[in-house]
Amino acid sequence: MIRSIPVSTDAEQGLPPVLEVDGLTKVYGPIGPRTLERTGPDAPGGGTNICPDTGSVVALNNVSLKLYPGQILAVIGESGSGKSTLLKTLYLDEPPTEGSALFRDPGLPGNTWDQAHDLFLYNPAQARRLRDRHIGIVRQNPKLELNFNISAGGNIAERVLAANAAELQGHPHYGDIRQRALDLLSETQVPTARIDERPGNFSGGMQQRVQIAKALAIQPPVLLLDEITTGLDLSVQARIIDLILDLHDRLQPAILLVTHDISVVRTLASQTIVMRYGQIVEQGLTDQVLEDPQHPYTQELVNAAL
Amino acid sequence: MNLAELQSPQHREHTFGLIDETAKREIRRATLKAVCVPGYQVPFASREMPLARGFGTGGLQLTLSMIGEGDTLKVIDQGSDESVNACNMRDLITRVCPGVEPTFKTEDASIFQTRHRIPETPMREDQTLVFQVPYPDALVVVEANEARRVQMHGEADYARLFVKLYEDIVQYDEITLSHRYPTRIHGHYIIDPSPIPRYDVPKLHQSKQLNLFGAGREKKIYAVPPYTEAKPLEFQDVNFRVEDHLDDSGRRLTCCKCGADNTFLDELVLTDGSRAYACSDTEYCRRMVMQAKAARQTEGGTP
Repeated sequence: MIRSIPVSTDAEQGLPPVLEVDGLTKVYGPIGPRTLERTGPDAPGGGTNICPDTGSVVALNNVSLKLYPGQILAVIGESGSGKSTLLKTLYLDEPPTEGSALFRDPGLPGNTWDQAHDLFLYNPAQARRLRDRHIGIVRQNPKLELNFNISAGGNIAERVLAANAAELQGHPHYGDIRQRALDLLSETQVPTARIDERPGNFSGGMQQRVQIAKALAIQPPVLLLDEITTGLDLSVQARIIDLILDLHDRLQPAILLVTHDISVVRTLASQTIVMRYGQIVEQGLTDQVLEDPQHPYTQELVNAAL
Repeated sequence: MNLAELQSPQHREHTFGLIDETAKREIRRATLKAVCVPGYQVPFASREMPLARGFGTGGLQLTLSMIGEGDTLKVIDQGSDESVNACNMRDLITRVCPGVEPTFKTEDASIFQTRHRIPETPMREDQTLVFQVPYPDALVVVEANEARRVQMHGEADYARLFVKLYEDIVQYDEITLSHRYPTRIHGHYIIDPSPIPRYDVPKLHQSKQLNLFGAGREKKIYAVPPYTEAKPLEFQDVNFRVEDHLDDSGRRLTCCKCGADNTFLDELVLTDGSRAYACSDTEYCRRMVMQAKAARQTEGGTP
C-alpha cells in the first residue's frame, strides 16, 4: 500500500505548536563551566557527549523544537545521541537540567490557544494529570509501560480510570470501560477475544499494539513514540507503522517519533530532526533531510542505511 | 538485683495501662490527628507490647492509651468473647488497668477492642470501637513501594484499585474481595477497614460510634469518626454487596442456635461432616437464645 506522507495542515493554518521545547539541556553528573562547549558533535576528536573536565554525560544540549497539532515529527540519531532522553524528559520521567517545554492543549476545557504552561514547572499532581490525560507514550520495551500482572483489558482500563478519576468521583462504569477497552483493542488489531489474557501471553508485536491501545485510550493530543518497531520482525514492523498511520489519520494526535530506522522516518514523518551527541545537527522537511543531507553526520547516516 | 527482688510487689507495679505516660500522650496525639483527617494513616511510634506484633499490638496500644478508671471493656475476636485471643487480651487489659470492668454485653461496654467484627447490636455515640489492623494500607495490593503509596493517597490516585475490581469482575463476574474491602472515607482517602467481612462495611457509614484503627506492626493509626461518610468502592453498574448467606435453594441461612436470619454467620463443620451455621457474634446469639427462652417461660407460665 502506498500512502502519501501526512503533511501538517495546522502548521500552515498558523496554529501555534502544541508543544514548544526551548533550550532543553540534560546533564547526568556535575556541570563544569565548560561542560556544554566541550561536548557535542563538533568537539575535538570527532565529537563526544562526555565532558573531559567532569566526566558528566551531556544527554541533551540546548535542544529546541516545535510540535504542531496533527504533525508527525521524527527524531533520528545513533544510540546515545539523546533522543530517548528527550522523550523521557518530555514525559516528565526525569527533570531537565535546564530549558522549558510549553504545552498548549486546545482540548482542555476552558483552555484556549493563548494559554501555555511550562511542563517542567508542574507540581507532582499536575505532572501526573498531564501523563494521565494529555500525553501518551509507547516505549520500545512494553514491560516498562504495561503491567504484566493484569490483563490487557485491565491495562487499558487503568488508563481510562486514571484519566477520568476526577469526573467520576469514584463511581466509574464497568460496562463503559469494558467497551472502551474492546473498541481500542479492535482498533489496534488485537483479537478482542484475548482481552482478558495477560500481555505476557502475547507476541512482541501484539504487546506493542496493546501498548498503543493503552496510550490512545485517552485520545491524547500528544503521542510520544520511542523506538516502537525496534526488535520486531519486518512484517510486524510494517503492520505497526501502518497502524500508526491509520490511527493518525483518524485521531490526529501530534506525534513525536524517536527512531534510528530511516525507513520508518520516510514512511511516517513530515519533518525530521537529526541528533548527535545531545545536539540537533540538522532539521527540516523529511524529504529534504533524507535526499539532500547537509551535515556530514546526516550524510553518513543516510548513506549507511541499507 | 536478683530474681526474687524483681518479682517483689514494688517492682511488679507499673503505670496504669502498662505503657508509660509519654507514650500514651504520643498515641493520643496521633489518634486526634487521625480523627481530624478521616481515613488518613497517621504514623506513630509503635511500642513493644507483651504480645507479638501481628497479634493486636496496634489495637492494644490504642485501647491502653485512652482507657481509664470507670470504663467498661469488651474484647471481640472474630465475633467471639471467648476465644484465646479475646480472653488473653481482656485479662491483660483488666490486669494492668485497675478499675476497668470487663463485660461481654455490647450495651454495657464503653470501649471495644475488636478483631475483625463489628457487633450486631447497634452501637451508640458514647462507645468507641478499636480495630486491630494487620495491613493498614488498601493500596498495598497494587503498589509495593510505600513512598509511592503515600503520594497516591495524597493525590487520591486510586485508579489501580478500581483496576483490581475490574480484573475481579472479568474473571469471576463479581467482586470477590471477602474482607479488607477498600472503603472511601469522607470522599478522599481510601482505607483498609481491617479484615472485617463485607457484611460489616456499611456499619462504618455514618456510624454513631468512633472507629479507631491501630496497626502496631505497621505503626499506623487511622479513624472513621462518628457520622462520617464511608463508601465501599464500586462501579456504577457493578455494585458493592454484602454476603447474602443464601443456601443452594436461595433461602437465607439461619443460625442453628438462636434462629436469627439477619446476622453474619460462621460456618461450622459438624463431627459427621455436615455443615451448620451460627451467629459470628456470640454475645448477640446468646442474648437471642435467652430472650426466646424467657418468652417461652412466660408463655408457659400464663394460666
